[in-house]
Amino acid sequence: MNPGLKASASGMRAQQLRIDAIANNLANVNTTGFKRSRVTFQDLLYETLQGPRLVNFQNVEAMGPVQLGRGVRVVGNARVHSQGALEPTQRMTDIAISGQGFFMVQMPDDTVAYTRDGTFTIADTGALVTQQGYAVLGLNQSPIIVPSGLVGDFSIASTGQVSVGQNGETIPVGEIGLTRFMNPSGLESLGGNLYGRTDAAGDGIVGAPLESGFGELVQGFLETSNVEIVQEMVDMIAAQRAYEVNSKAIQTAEEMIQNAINGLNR
Amino acid sequence: MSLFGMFMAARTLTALSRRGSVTQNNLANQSTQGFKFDRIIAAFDPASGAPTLSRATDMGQGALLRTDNPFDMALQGPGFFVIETPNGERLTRNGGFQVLNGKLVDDAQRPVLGENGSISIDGTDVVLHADGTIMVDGKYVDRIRIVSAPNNADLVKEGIGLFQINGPLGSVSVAETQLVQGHVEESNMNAMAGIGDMIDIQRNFALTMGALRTMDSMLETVTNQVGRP
Repeated sequence: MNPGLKASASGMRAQQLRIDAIANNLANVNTTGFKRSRVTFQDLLYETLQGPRLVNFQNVEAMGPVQLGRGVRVVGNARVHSQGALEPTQRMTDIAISGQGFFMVQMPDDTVAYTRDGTFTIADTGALVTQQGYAVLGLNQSPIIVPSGLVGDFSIASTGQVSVGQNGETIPVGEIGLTRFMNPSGLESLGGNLYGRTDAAGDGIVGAPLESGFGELVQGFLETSNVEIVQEMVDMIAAQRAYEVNSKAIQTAEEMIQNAINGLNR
Repeated sequence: MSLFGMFMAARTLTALSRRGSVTQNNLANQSTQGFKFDRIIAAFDPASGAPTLSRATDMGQGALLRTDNPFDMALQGPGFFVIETPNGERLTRNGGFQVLNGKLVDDAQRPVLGENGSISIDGTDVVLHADGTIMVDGKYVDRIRIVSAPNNADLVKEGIGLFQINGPLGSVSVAETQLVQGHVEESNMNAMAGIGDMIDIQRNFALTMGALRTMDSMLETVTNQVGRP
């Protein structure tokens, strides 16, 4: 059987997965803190029909081995952690990170998850929480709690200090910490704009905003998705054309096979 | 009338079908980073009179795609990265790397080699220079090994982005090859050229089949008609 047919079929399948990833990017074009993902491909194993050899020994004219490839596969779906645009929201508990780092969030099972989505609120317990109600952790790895009875202007400094202004006084209530990873593309998506740590991402380094390598916090802003519609549309067209070309290659190879079969028919 | 012409036609058909398969694999890999497309070259073999086949990988530069991942590296110019595998050192143009357990590895988690073996990365701020020098948090760590294959015919594709080399390795200078951080090299396969090749192959195939049919009917005439009263 013609091995090219399977190669082309694998090409169609890989492009299909690429379209799926683009569709997911486009679906999240308005998701706060969303990072677009990019599908990566690898070629499959090769069948060597004839090894390399020397044709004319005097002139040392070598001929490359004749090898047939078996197609392509998808190896990964790497997230691109580039900065999204900052958008003003006028909400004092909305925080964006401009630069590197993730907010730390305490999950119900006491593990720590990471997010770039700073849509926070103050729960009735006084804790600063995410939209799902998970506590945001401070630099000291404990939740940031606004003591009850404290009413006033909630403010967050670019270096992470959280304070409440009351009667002309500024009362500090905590300090937001960030974690950064050597390889953020290696983080695992947990859904709900949260990421989990993996070995590929490396050990997280906890630090305060604006410390070396960390971004700054911007109060009253949210980071928009880094998906650019035009870029995704161009990628989608490229993927669709690649799909079509593979399909056309199957058709052409099939015509050859048909020709061979009919040619010997009497 | 001998059957020589028919054997020749059959060998041509086999050659065309191989070319078709190789082109289909090229087309399947038009989005594979670091992929280099193959050509099947048919040459006249005076000994048998039939086409003899060889393969050449086109090492032309692929376009650089910006990814913003600090461990994505692309080579601009000739040369290869060196990867350590259980079967020995292998070459690749796919610089989609990552860090696993403090070591620089490729996307199949095999170590990427520097001048002093595998590369340990312990820190957060990784900067690569065009000559392959790796600086982590401002300190020199190692230099990524970039080698060249002086003879294209020595390269054997192993798949998963790797080349095995059956010959001497060469070196490259920073003047001819630069390492570009935060980018990957796209496949150098051009889809339009590929589909053009497929149509060309198919037409040639049909033509040769036609010749085969004509020879077959001549032979039929010879065996059934000649000598009849």
